[in-house]
Amino acid sequence: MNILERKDIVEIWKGIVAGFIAKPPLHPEEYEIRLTSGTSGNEPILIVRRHEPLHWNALRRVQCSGSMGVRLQHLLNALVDEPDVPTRIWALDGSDIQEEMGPLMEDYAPDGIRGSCSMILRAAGHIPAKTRAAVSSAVFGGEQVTPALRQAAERAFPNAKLQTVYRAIEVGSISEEPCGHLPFGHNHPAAGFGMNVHDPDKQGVGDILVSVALSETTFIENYRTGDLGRAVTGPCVCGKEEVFEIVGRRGQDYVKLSGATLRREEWDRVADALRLYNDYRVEASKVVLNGKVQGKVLLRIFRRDGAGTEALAQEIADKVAKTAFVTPTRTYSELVATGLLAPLKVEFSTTPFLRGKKEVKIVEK
Amino acid sequence: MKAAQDIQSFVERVRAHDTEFYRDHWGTAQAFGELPPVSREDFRRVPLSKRRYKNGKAMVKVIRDANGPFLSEWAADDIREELYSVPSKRPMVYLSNAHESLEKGAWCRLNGMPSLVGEREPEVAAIEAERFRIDSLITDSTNLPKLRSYLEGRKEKLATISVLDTTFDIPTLRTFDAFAHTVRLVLALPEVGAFAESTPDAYPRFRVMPNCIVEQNGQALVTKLSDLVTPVIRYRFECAEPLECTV
Repeated sequence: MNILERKDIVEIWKGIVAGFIAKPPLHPEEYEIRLTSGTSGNEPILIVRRHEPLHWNALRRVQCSGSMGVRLQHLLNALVDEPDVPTRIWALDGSDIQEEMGPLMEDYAPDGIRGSCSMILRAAGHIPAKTRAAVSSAVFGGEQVTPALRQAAERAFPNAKLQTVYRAIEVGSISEEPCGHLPFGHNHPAAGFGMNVHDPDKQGVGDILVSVALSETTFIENYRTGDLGRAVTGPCVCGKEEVFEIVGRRGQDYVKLSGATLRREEWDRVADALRLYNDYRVEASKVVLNGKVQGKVLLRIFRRDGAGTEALAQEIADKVAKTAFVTPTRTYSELVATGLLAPLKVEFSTTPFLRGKKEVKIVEK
Repeated sequence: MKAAQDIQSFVERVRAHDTEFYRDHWGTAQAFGELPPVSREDFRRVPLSKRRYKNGKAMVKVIRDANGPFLSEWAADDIREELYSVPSKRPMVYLSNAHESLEKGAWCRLNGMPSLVGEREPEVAAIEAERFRIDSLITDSTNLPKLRSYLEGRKEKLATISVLDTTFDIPTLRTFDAFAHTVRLVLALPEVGAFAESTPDAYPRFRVMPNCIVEQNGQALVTKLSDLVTPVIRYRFECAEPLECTV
């Protein structure tokens, strides 16, 4: 089977964009342009995609996303789709999330909130309980929703139906809007998407491959999104037969965590630069403290010389935190100062780490 | 200026509306020139739900200054009618405020153009601009200088750079004349929209946009003769230096 990887998609999109510029479509306003984040360590991709309508029945929406492109898409969904429906939207900016947002949100009275679970929970900390209780729909996308985050979301929005959607910017909305009958984390493929689970293990978990038209003239087959998932057997109550569940990220060469991105290559660089340990594993998790999401990172290290005192662990933690960049411009310790991350913790492993086929070094717990 | 009769009938329509914001604010004053001005403080004091004059598809944005935040709502139809920029094939919006950026991105869409809103980091925005081969830019005084390197590297001039703001550093803006056939200075406020325009050469003379009235009798007031979600009638605004607004 010929599997398309990210680098293949980069080239395909360059061709589509060049075609758009050379010969604009009849209705260029129907196209939205955005750049993928490039946080996975790959070259960012410029996407020129025809506007995707969104069928979400929330009338007073709050959109939570760090990406301007994603926010714009949802703004246009509210302003353009279903012309007769009086949809309002507040595309939340990070700078909006502060104490004084509470009365404004009370006045706005949202009934639906959508986006990154971490950002939604950060906002929830500043929304009055009565206003949160009136939210009937919360839809999460853009990051894996761990059990801890889900529980926090259930507490924050006690009367909301919690659902997930699955999309990759470079190919669009892979899942259709939640039908309302599926368990949390399960979805139906969107119309036009072919989905396969490649090389599944005993639990049926394998690489998600998608086939879809990227433009009017370009169809891609078997693109590896980088996520792991499984096909769920049995038809849904809604009548649709295909159901899938996303369970994580392949290889986990990066983890997004509370405003930080832990990239394998950066942690490799730090290990090489400091030479304080011979091998390492990073375990990232999210915790909710006083209603705020905070990222926690445990760096497990192996030293061939067997040294492993508490003082040495602290020394290594300090040096790594000051050296490792977790955003394009900020180090781990700088994000600790903002409260987004907890102080780095270092633990010694007395035995070498097992090296699997994919040699996973960064995982989200 | 619009015929006095049109202005007065607009005022009467707002006064007769179920929403009481302006009626309460105006009290017994009748003639347009006698209406007490409104200001940001009034918008901040009265919740959006109490100064909403129409319902429909709309975006809500937060406007914040040193005195605190308030909400402003803009209907899709009203965003479309603004004169933020001029038509082009591949515009990019790059403003320092995220809400304003999104609104202008929607403006592009609603006016028949593809919509590209630059990401916050200048390096990323420059990549977007370069790869999409933009032909015009909608920006502000804060963000325009951040794209200087990108603009210096371009082989062709942009058709237009529209600078949306209330203060304009003319010596700095003149240095961008080399990068565009036209640099437009657009007097605009987030809660008002655009209401006058100029160029670095004509500054501080501004041409008032259609359907807008600017009064400058000791205080600067703007009125938009449009049925906005929260209408703008004799709205007080501050400019760093006196402007010469002409119709």
